[in-house]
Order: sequence, then C-alpha cells, then structure tokens
Amino acid sequence: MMKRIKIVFKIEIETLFDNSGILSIRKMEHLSMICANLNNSGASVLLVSSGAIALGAAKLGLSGSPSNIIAKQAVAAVGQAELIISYQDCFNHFDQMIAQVLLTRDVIDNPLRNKNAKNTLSRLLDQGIIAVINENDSVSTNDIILNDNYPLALIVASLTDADAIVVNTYGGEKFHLILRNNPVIREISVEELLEISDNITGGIYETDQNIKGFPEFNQYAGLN
Amino acid sequence: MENWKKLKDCKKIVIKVGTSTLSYPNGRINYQKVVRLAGTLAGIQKAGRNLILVSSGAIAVGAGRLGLASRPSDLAGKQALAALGQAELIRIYRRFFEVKNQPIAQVLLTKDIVVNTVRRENAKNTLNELIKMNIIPIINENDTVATDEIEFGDNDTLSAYVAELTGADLLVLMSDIDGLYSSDPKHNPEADIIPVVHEITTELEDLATGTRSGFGTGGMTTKITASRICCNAGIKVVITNGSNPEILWKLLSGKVAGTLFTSKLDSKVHKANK
Repeated sequence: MMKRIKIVFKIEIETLFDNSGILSIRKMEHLSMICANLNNSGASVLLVSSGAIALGAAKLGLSGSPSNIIAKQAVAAVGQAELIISYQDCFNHFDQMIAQVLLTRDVIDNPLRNKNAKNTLSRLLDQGIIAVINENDSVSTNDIILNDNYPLALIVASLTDADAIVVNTYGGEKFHLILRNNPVIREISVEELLEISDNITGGIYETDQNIKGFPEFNQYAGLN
Repeated sequence: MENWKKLKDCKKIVIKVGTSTLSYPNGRINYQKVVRLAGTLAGIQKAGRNLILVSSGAIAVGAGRLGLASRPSDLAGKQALAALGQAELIRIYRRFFEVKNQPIAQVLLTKDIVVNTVRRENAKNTLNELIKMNIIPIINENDTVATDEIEFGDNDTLSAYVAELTGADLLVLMSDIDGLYSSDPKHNPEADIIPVVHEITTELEDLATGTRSGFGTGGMTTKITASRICCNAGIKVVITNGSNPEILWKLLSGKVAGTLFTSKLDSKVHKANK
C-alpha cells in the first residue's frame, strides 16, 4: 500500500470565527469538508485547533476573553467541550469520525507520555479518525500565555512524523503549506490543497515560489 | 443515624459514576440513566450545592459509536477509543445538562495532579474557578496520554484526589452495589450493608478485597483506597448504588443510603486544609 501523506492543520481563531468573534459554523463546516475530503483522498489529517477560550467565553455570555490566567483556564474547560461538539456536528455532515486529544508539553520529554501519545495518534490515523488536538489548558498554561498553538502543531507533527503543516492564518481561502525539510513555503488554494497527495508524491512542490513569514516553522522546513 | 444527618450540611460534593451506572450490561450507553443523572445533579446544584462529576464511560461510548462488539484488548486501541468516546461522552452530558440550563466544563486529568506541583496548582485553580462560576466540571482521566503503570487506572482513586484537591466535604461513589456488606451476600443471605465505617481497619480491607467477586463489578478495593485518601483529608465518603441516580437527593437529605465512611479529622482540621 502506498504511504499516506500525513498533514497537520494548525487551526487558528480566524479560521473558525467571524469578525465579531462568534463561531462561524459556515467556516468550521468548510474546514471540516476540506479535512474530510483530504482524508477520503488518501491523506491522513490531524487538526491542532485553538478556539476553546473564545467559545467558552461566548457560551458563558462573557464580553471577551477573561484577563487572568485562572479564569482563562476555567473558560477553556467550558469551551473545549463546546469546541469538540461543534467539530463533531460539522464533521458529521461529511460522515467523518473525529476524536479529541488533549496534550501537555511533557509528551516531548516524558518517554511514557511520548509513547502513549504517539500510539494513540497513530491508531486513530490507522482507523481513519481525525484527531482534534489541543493543549490541556486545565493543567497547563503554555499556549494560554503564548496565545498561539504553533508549538503544539510542531509537537504533533513530530509525534506523527507528518509530511506537512498547513496553516490558514488569515481565515481566508488561502492556506500556507509548510513541507518537512523543504525550505519553500507556499501559499495554496483549497483546490490545490485537495490535490496535495498527488502533488507531494508527484514532486510538484520541489521548485516553486518562496513565501516568508513563518519563522516558527523554519526548523521543520529545514531552514536555519 | 447522626452521622448520615450531617450530610445535609455538605456543600462541595464530588460525585463519581462508573461505566456500570451509565450503561447496559452489554456495555452500550443507557441514555435514560444519563438524563436522570444530569437532571438530579442539575437540581442539586440549583438547590445551592457545588457539584463536581467524575465520570467514566468514554470507552463504552466509543465502542458503541464504532459498533464494536467488544472492547479492544491492547492499550493503543483502548486509548484511541477513549479519545473518540470522550468527545461523544461530553457531548451527551452537555446535551442533557443544557436541557436543565446547567453549564458544564470538561476537565481531563492525569496522576500528575498528585505528584507534579505545577499541574496540581493548575488543576486546583481551574476546578475551583469553575465551581465559583457555578459550572459543574465533568472530569475523567486523560486516557490518551495515560499509561496503566503511571496513572490512576481507575476513577475511584482519581475522584478521591479530586475531592482532596478541591477541598470537598463529601465524595459519593456511585456503583452497582448498595454499599459495603458485612460479609459476602452471595454466600451469606444474612449479610447486611454496613451503614457507617468510622475506621478503615485491616479487617475491613480483608472483607472488601477477599470477597470482591461476590460484590459485582464495583471493585471494592479501589473504593477502600479512595475512602482512605479522603478520610485522611477530612472528607466523608459514601458508597451507594447508582442505578437510581435520584438516591443522591435521599442521602444528601441525611437519610441512610449505603455505606458512609466518616473522617477522624474534625471539620476544623478540614477547613485548615482548604
């Protein structure tokens, strides 16, 4: 059997929420369609998704994200449940099963945690189930303080030996494709994204334009 | 029973439900039980107490979703199923709590909350903040990163540490048995439920462990372990039958409904621990 291309989606608030800070079911459904479609095309997909705090705040009727860390953790515990349920709703429309995986940074250096996380993720991939991954904010505050989930995306890419990380920074129709050990970062459309399996295996991405602006992924892309 | 009457005053309560309470003997989820449990908990919360739910059931729900006849036997299979099932489980709870207008949150913990001070502080802060906000936290072990060797392995022990962490007044272990029996009811028709245990003696432990199989799937050993953790922290423990979730109303009104483990520590010591 041909090796399945493995892609980690780094999902940010802009990908899921509209300008007024409310979860856009249309956007989430669009993303779910892309991921389910990619899965159907023979690629393996994992989602590293933000959005728990924003959803928790909306659920509780707060005017915005709370300012102190403890309140953010509590709101994240409410919102993570909302987030995974919303993803289920959206993915159900495309008959795609999902699972929830909450990680802490010690999956990097704690050998048992590392092995467990790897095993769980690889089993889910084998079963064609899309893992929706987030930091376990209830017991850890790294991403809350940083206010970004790129370290987690890198951890997941490393745990699963992923071939590519896909970022949709501005929430629009364009995605940024970061291939492992390929220092050329590209902007691609949804159509191109959906053909990604063929394009990677076919070597189409060997030479192309170079888009800068993702220094956090330099090492993954083989840049110094 | 004076000891039971004191349960009327318990304010912060951890409720632990096992898979057996939430599912049919074939392992599939019993939605009606979840509805009744959620309704009961929401009602008790509205009546002015603070509840924390520790719930198993993720793997059972996951197996149902995948239509598996039996659970996978290997660890990775169980963990993958738990990742799938936990998402389903929290969805089911959220649905039935929402009907009662009761907000919930999901908190997944590992044994780090016992041994790692940063994790412990974080978990404690998150849970206490949720309680303050009148939200019921729904806790489970974070199975996707947990391993048998280094983790709780059972939610009885997890729930005891959660009770300790949050400074709860009471832990209720809802199981498929009525309480702790004076002897194995299978072999002795005269066996009675012990209503109150003041001290967890070796004799009592032998009673619980030696005849475990006769007591159903409840696993009395882990319940004794949980009771010991709580009693040392000044927290009362009740073992009760979860087949009727409404039994919580009964025991919280001070009526006998199973086995109560009292703590030797008085309430002053308990308060100081908070």
